[in-house]
Amino acid sequence: MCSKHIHEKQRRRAQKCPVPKGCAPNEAMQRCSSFIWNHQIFFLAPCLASFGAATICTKLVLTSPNFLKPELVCPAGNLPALKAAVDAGGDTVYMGFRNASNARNFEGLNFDRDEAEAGIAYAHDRGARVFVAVNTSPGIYDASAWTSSIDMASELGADAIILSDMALLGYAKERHPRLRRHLSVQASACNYESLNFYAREFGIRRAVMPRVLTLDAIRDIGSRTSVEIEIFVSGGLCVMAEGRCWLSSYVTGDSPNMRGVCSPAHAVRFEEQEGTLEVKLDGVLVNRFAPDAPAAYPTLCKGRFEACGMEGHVMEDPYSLNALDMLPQIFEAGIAGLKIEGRQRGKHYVREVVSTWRAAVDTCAADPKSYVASPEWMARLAATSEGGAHTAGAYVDEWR
Amino acid sequence: MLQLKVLPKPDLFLRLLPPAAQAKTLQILINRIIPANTLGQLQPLHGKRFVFRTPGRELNLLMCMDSQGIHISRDGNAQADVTIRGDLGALMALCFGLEDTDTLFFSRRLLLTGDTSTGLLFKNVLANLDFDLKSELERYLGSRAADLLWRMAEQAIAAVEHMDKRLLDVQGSLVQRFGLLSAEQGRTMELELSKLADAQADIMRRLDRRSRATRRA
Amino acid sequence: MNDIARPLRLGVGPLLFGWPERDIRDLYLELAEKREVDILYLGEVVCSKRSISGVTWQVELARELAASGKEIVLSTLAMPTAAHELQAIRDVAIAAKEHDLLIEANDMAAVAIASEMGVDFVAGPHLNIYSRGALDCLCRHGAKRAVLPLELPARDITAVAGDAQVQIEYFAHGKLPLTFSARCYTARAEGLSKRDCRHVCFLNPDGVEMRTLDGGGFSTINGIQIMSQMPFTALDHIAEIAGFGVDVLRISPQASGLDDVIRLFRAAMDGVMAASDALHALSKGREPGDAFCNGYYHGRQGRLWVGK
Repeated sequence: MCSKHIHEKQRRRAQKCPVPKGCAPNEAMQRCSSFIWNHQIFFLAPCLASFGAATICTKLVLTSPNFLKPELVCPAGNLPALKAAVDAGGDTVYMGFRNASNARNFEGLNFDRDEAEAGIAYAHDRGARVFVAVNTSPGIYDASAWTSSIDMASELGADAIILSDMALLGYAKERHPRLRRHLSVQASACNYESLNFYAREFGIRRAVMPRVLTLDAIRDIGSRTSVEIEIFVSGGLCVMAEGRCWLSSYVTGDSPNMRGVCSPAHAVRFEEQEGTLEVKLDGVLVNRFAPDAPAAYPTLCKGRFEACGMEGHVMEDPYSLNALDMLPQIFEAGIAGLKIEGRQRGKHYVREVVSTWRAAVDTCAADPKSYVASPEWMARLAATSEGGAHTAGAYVDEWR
Repeated sequence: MLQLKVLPKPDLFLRLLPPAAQAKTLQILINRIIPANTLGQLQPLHGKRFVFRTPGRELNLLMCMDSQGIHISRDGNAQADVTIRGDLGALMALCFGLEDTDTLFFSRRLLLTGDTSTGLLFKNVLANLDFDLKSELERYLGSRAADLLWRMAEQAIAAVEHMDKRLLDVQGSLVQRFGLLSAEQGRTMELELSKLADAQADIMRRLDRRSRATRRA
Repeated sequence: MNDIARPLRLGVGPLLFGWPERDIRDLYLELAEKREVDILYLGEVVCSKRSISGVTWQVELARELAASGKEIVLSTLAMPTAAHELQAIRDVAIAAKEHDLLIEANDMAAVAIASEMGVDFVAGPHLNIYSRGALDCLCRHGAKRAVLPLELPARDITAVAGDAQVQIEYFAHGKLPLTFSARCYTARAEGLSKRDCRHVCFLNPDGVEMRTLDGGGFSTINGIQIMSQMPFTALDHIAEIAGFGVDVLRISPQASGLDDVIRLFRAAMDGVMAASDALHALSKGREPGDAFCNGYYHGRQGRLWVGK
């Protein structure tokens, strides 16, 4: 853009060159060129100076964390949700196709080819990017759903694909080298050595961090790798290292890695007895809700069990992640993407959550030092969350 | 949001209409206002049986769909794949995508029993619909009748929203008073507060005893 | 891949539970004496807070064990996040190179470090090798043996490993490690936090039981890890496993009954005892389904027992 500007200026200056009226074209051209030649310092110097300034600015922007406003990466479980996310101010949306190639393989969720095409067009027309998740492991006997999903993402113009399996990373690198490859949280890469390995082997440009690291640890990792860092900041909190959790297949036979589901709906049974609601997963009692207590989907790690004579949330409380009050530290840590969880939620949720985060990120970017997460934002997020309350999760050390 | 005047609640109509009439009216209305392409999007739900029931059984209907359209009949406790229980506002919010469905389930305003897989399919298929209830009502019923119906629906749903708004207010004021609390901090605070309350009660008892002793003396 | 001529080998470890170092040393010295055991895996996989004496202790013990003639493998952490944890892996790799030992890589960091230093490794069960492509990538970086994911049905081993030039190891007995987290669940169950855990895991050598609210069995808590309630066993399927191309069977140690497990596995592997008899002996009069689970072998829910 800078050089175009320079050429424009040069052209105008050249037009003002002292060619007397009635001058023959050839002589005019000669006079013009000699004028430019004699006064080249006036053309080159601003040119060089602008270029120099542009370089310095870019370097500052790219390296100084305080200048970086991380982008909001928003969930799109279907086309209405995608539109809601983009309209609410999301910088990027992430989606999956309607098959087992992504880790939110719920019935009726996700995009078919036409919907994906429409969604990508909608986003691009409004300056938003689209990432496509193909983040489960390919079927052992038939990997076609996975490879065709990667091909389709490339064909439809997705801005990046999010992968976790090494075979698929290799396939994408070989067949679609210009399609940006991101490392999914399902790859469970929790240190800079892993990130650099994936960068060297498969050319990943960004990685999503598992939700088991403190913000200090994340900042440290970011400083030792050129891979961009993306972290979850809002939504359903997975307390285990994603991609290395087999609780779901232990109880139901289906796992995120192999089938793209955790605590799948086909195994869920809700039963109400005199106001008390019991929920079972494949016949195993996962939770009990007193008559007025809010209900929750029976994700295994959030269930209530008994250990050491105490009953309760032995693994994790069913609160959602909300790192709104940590935005200044997040900015400082040089994080490139703020990921909002919730592809299984609908357009109302997406609109509420994305608009809240948009307001918060913009407010923090304007003045990080005086940023405070407003009670209204916190309340809006809490109202939409499962469990109704929020936690900063592993980002804060006390959580462990 | 429209200004809400005192409107007859839809529940009242339900109580006035016998179930067969409810079913017939709803079936006619729904099949008229839902455009063909939206019906096409409902194809994954063909052949599945859904029962909708309000807590007092004013509404107790069976719904199924096929290429012909949507069929609604009196339930009579027929075998259903999925049974959805909730107040009328919540059911309308679910079916017409007017509110966040998951919040309705979390707050126990909607209860889903039966085949959860089909229930989830139902929720997701509806969430994917390209359907604007208000404009369809206007197209079919004319703007004045549509406006009245819309406001009645909003009033019914406002009961749902009202609860959410109340929750929002309570959350907001708590957060304002105590600052931002993590779940653990909240529990610690509760514990501390209850200890304080116990200590207070203990002091009051001792003061009471002392004053009684003084009076006797 | 397993040739019919080459017999199955038996490996024991790594110990996934938190034990005091003295007890770990006693266990391994005892294991080193057993002729039934071919391979020993030694090292902390779950929580770096447990390895109080660090890498030096691990390497010294490994060298002592190596005198027994068994193959010794140095296991490494599955989720290294802190700088000192990565450094520990580097130190283990250096020692392995020096003493010509393999390391067990349970995280891509260990793979990266081993590859960089030219150290051969065993690709552990937490590396998620679900596809042939993933296996090939690891082999290119120095994997000499690979343990496939525990939830992978046994019948799919051939499809993933096929004719790959790498040995295949199968987790054949022990409580199944199902998850990793940052939060310590043992500490949490005892009302403590990970930072101030006081090593309560040392008091629970077989982990802490977690049950459902209606009293049913559910799982075992092991620090930052959740495990199956009952041990997994594939003792009655040894011949079939060999047919899938497995070269090494892994037994994961536990506090009690380990001697019997090793003895019966070896007896079945050598053909001295019928596998089903061995299972019957191991079950000690109970129904196998009351003592063990094997759902993952059959590609079913991991907690189930699927009878023949």
